[in-house]
Amino acid sequence: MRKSQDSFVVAAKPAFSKKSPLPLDRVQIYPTRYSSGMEETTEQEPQRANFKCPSCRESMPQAEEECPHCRLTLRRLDLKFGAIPLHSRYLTDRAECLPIAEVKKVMRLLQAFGKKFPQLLFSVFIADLPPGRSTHEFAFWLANRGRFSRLDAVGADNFDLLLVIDVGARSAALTAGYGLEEHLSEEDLEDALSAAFPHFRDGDIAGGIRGCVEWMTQHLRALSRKTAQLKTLDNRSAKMTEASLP
Amino acid sequence: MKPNRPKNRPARFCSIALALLFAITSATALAQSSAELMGKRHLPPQPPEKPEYHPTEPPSEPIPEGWIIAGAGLAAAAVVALLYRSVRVWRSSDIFDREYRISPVESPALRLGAKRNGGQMATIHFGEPPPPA
Repeated sequence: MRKSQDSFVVAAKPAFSKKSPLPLDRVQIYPTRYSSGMEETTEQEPQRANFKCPSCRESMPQAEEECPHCRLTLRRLDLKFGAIPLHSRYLTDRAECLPIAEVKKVMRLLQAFGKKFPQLLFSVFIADLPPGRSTHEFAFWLANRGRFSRLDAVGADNFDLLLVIDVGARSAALTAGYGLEEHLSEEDLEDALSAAFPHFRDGDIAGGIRGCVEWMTQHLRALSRKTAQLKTLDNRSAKMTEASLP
Repeated sequence: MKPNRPKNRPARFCSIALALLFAITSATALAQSSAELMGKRHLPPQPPEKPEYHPTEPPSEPIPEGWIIAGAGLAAAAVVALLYRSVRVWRSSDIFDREYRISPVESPALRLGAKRNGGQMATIHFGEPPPPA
């Protein structure tokens, strides 16, 4: 787990360099997150990448209502995709490419995932999207407009994972809710899809889903254990500090 | 007229005694023999005992060894299948595993007007799309 220590990162490119071309010596440095003491960390923590627009896949800063490159908003995708397709909580196979036996197995796998991680919900949506519909746009739109988890799971309370598989375009997208962004980076999501890639390439959709879910299970389990160990160490150090105080 | 003969009384007495003695002994002998006969004839002779009828069963043939081996193999296969199924159910139902919790995070900055998902995702392409018809 990337320890949620506050870090101080220098942006490689100031966001306003194009708008107001100030000399670099007058460029202000903004912390990416609140940092107590503004200290540089001794360890070289990897620079946290900006988020990518679900449509144009260009980097965009946080807290933007629309993408500065393609001006994407969720509302535009509502007009593009129209009505929300019927879907179930765990597995939706609109393309009807999974046999019934495999559907049952995948359902049980996803339910077991939910038992291991009660806060999370792993949903899979298989479809054959019409031409011109990109998989990542659809995944972003469905993750926000679909009702996979409870209605009040918004913001930091959303721990949904959605895997969208477009059998027509032969592409897949895995997206995580706001609550998981601190724990799962895009590299982690890519690794999860890499575990499914050999199966998808061979036409084994169910096997690919299984590989992705199992990778995610192992990763989150290790993450949770590390977090628990760190908490234990922090508690011990805090107790020792309190004991040493007069 | 017959002359007076002297009466032989002791001879008569002896003869009569002998006759009585002979009668008595013969009577006793007859009684004993009849009693013996009566005793034997009191119970009718028993017919010889007939043996009880036991229907004899044909001797059972021993079970072939091949059948015994096949039965043991089937039983072992059934046990293995049951264990395999049980392990799969245990794994899928997560009986022996624990729950894992994710630590909550601060309120994230919402993007693109989306409240649930901010667009953090990864995509892959696992083949060439089919050519349009």
